[in-house]
Amino acid sequence: MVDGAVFFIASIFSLPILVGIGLSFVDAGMRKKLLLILAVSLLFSVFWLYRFGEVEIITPLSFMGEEISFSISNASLLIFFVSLLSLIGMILLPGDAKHQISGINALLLGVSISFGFIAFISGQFMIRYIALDIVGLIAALMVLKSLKDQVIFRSFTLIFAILRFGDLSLLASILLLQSHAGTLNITDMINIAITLPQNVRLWMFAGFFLAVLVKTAVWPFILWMRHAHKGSNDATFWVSGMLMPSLGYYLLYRVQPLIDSSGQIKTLVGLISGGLILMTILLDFLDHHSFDHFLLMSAFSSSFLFAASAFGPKDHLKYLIAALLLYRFILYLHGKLSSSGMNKFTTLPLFIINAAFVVVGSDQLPLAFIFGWAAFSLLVVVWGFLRDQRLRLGDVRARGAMTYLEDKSLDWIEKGAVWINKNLEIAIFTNGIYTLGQAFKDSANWINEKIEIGIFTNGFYRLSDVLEGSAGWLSDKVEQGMERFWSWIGNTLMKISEGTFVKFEVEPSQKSEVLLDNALNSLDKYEQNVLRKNLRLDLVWIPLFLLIIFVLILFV
Amino acid sequence: MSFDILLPGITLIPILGVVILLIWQRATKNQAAVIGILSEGFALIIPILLLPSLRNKGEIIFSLRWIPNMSISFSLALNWLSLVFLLTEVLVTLAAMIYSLGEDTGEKNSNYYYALLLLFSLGMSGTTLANDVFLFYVFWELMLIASVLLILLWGHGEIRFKVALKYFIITHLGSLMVLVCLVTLYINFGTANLTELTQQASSLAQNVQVFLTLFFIIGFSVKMAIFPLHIWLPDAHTVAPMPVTIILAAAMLSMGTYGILRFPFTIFPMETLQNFAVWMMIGGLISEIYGALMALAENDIKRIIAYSSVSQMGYILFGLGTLTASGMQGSVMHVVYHAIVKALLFMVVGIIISVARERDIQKISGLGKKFPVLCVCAAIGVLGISGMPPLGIFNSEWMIFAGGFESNISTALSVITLIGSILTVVYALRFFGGIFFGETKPEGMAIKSPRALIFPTIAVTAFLIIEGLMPGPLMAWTIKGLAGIFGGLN
Repeated sequence: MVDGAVFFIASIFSLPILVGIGLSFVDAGMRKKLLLILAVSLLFSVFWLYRFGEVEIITPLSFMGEEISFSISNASLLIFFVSLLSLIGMILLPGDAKHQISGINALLLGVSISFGFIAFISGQFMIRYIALDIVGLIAALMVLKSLKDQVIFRSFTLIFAILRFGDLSLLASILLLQSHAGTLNITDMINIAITLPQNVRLWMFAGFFLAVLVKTAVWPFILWMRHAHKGSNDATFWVSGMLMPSLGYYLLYRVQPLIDSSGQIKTLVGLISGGLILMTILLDFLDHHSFDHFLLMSAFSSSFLFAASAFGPKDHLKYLIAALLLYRFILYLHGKLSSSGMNKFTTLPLFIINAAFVVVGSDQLPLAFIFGWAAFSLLVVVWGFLRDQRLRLGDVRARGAMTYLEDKSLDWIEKGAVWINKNLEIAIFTNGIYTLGQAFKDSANWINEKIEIGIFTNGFYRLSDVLEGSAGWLSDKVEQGMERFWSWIGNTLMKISEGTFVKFEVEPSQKSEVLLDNALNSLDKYEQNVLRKNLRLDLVWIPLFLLIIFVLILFV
Repeated sequence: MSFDILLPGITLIPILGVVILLIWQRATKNQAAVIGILSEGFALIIPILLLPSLRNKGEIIFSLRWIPNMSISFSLALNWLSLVFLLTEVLVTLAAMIYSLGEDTGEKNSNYYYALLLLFSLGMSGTTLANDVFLFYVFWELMLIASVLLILLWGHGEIRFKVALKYFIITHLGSLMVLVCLVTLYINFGTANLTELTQQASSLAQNVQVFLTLFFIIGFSVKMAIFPLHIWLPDAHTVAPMPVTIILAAAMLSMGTYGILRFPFTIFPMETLQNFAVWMMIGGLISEIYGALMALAENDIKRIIAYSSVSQMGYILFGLGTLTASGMQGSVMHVVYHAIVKALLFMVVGIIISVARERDIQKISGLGKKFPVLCVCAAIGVLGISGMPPLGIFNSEWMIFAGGFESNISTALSVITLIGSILTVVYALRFFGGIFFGETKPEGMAIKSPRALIFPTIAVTAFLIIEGLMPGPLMAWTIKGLAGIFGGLN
């Protein structure tokens, strides 16, 4: 049984990549047909896999010390099945030659299907994260049509950065959970997560939920999907428009026990969902361009799903996800094929889906939820009516937001919507992101200029200049002063030595020489005087006489 | 058959290469390169030959008496940790030497140029292998002197004299702090042998241990270019010739990490290190964000990548600060992956500069269509540094982040570090989009990228992909390496 499942898993993973490579070498017409065949065959494979039931497959492979496992569940296969169904629809949509699928796009599409599938069935969180990251990168890459256009690249950067932000918040939660659970197995992690302290659970959930909000492109993360749509054709937009939100929904489905485990989290999700619903209804009042409408209604349906995941029965959640994904696809089709914007056709299916969910789960749903749902539904109906009335009066956008505010004939609802559109949607979120980016860039530049260059780079040189100046001063004042001092001492000593030398060495020597000369001269004179006289022999008797006296003294 | 006796060959063969190059005064650039590449190649083969023995013994030691009166010996030790750093350093140097062939650096006095490259590499391999603190310091300084000379003699512009001096003074101050610690250890225990010091150092008074750990961390952080000790790096990386920049960024920065792991983390108990854990994490976080912001603000493409090193070293310090197995393993792996990515990005930058003759990102654009192979290599490098799976940095980054969460020091710090990594994506994409997208400029650039430069770049790109897809061996080595040091680590 498991061997059969492994075969199907291997096929569903490898086939899209292999076919994607092959599709790079065929012409556009053939490419579309082959993609269609691939999608249909994958659909059948998923169906067959579904027949194996819920299976846990542990592979001999491991990633970073954790075994890689796959967990085949009905929910994951159902959601993936619906995603593939929408792919078929999007491939079949007629498009002009400009919007044909290029070879590289076909390859990227194949890779995204493979990794999307892995993200659905992975039993290990890190593998799931990697698969999600790769799908995110592909969603961004899909907009890159030409290397010549830097504007397209900016769109790529925006999509990639926003999706990465979502992925990083997911990673933060995974790692926080792993540090407590000691494993990366999703089921084990979630089971342990619900037993953790309240504050840890809250932080963990915040990371997961942020990732869901980003992937499902609800307000204010709606921006990335708008850019993704601008640069894609129908088939390639499937990655951003269908696959990515379905992965977000499935993530929510997996972490739903965390919501159930805490009243605080439930309240938080309820409040966020309510706020998002109100916001999207208000904004949809203005935006009647078909794609904006698709985005806002999708966000609306996602918000309902969030609320349902907090308060609704979990058994029915997967069906609700599948139904909302189908609705999303229908909405896209409608936007493509008609330009009438919001009408009964687009709101009615959503109302039916939500009503079905409420009716089926009414025994488990709290009364507050049912009332809330009824109130919001009523609001949508009233809103739809007001909107239709307004559209009949004229195009809001054509008249401009400011003029609209000054027009006293308009009612407060429209003014409110315009105000929100102008001050929140455009000023804060749309322009805000660019303003924030610019402010961020400016502050980085400021730090670069003032700290990095001013203090560190130039600072060092300035410091060396100061040091050089000080050294010069020291050299001039101290070093040379010292030199002068030493020179003075030296000179003084030299003078003293010289004086001493002259006084005690030279002068005495000269004096002694004079004395000696005088002595020698006087001797010379004396000798000359003595020698000049005749020798007197009679004087010899004196010593002789003295000698005789000496002898006599001795003997007498 | 045991190859253990070959261990000193890792240092002796490059010395032999240096001697040949110094004697062979009339060697052409190609001839000098062959000597350099062969010497480095042999130095690479030896650790590979020693792998079976390392598996059996866990550590291979070679010791020769040097100054017996002072208990100083020529003692080398190869273990799993030093192996990781050694292979990284030798591979990077080898790649840089091959890349040099296509560059116009070292056309004159080629023998001295390659001899200095070999000495630079020798300094790094000696540092990783030294099992004697005196020997360690000798190699540590050799690394600095050789790199300073390379910048002085072959650097760009007149500013190189100033930059080389700045680089020398600042990194030498760090080295002096390390020296103070080494001398203190030597005086206290009367031995320079690292194995003996490891066994005895924990008997030092607690305040001395804290003081030495502080000095070690600051001293080695200078080499790692952690904010605000990074001020030597942007200028040195910019002024140095490209092959030297590659070695500086991809290999030499990792020596600081090795120093921290080899000294305070090996010889002192966890209780001492815990005093610094949170400060290391904060320092790492600031460096990560600051480096990324500066990379975002810079317009010089060489400096963008240089600042990215400051940021990436921040991750490494953060991982070390967690004091957890995951964090530290992530840091060591990050050293390796960062080395590969950084070598690749600098190679790409080198090619861009050589074809465009321009370094200002605002004056270069649209190279993607003209140089598709270069564009693919750059794209992989940019995705690599952004931590995109399955490229290697993803593995190391998430281990570092996991370490942050496991450490229980501060969840907020870990979350900010993790979310801060989005800045890497932003500056990396700005770099890539700015250069490869849009209208081609500047006018009149080269038609083809030089083959001698593009081939090593492709090889490093392939290596980056392979390393990312097969992290198994590196993981196993780092686990063994760290287990050898932190026996009682959580």
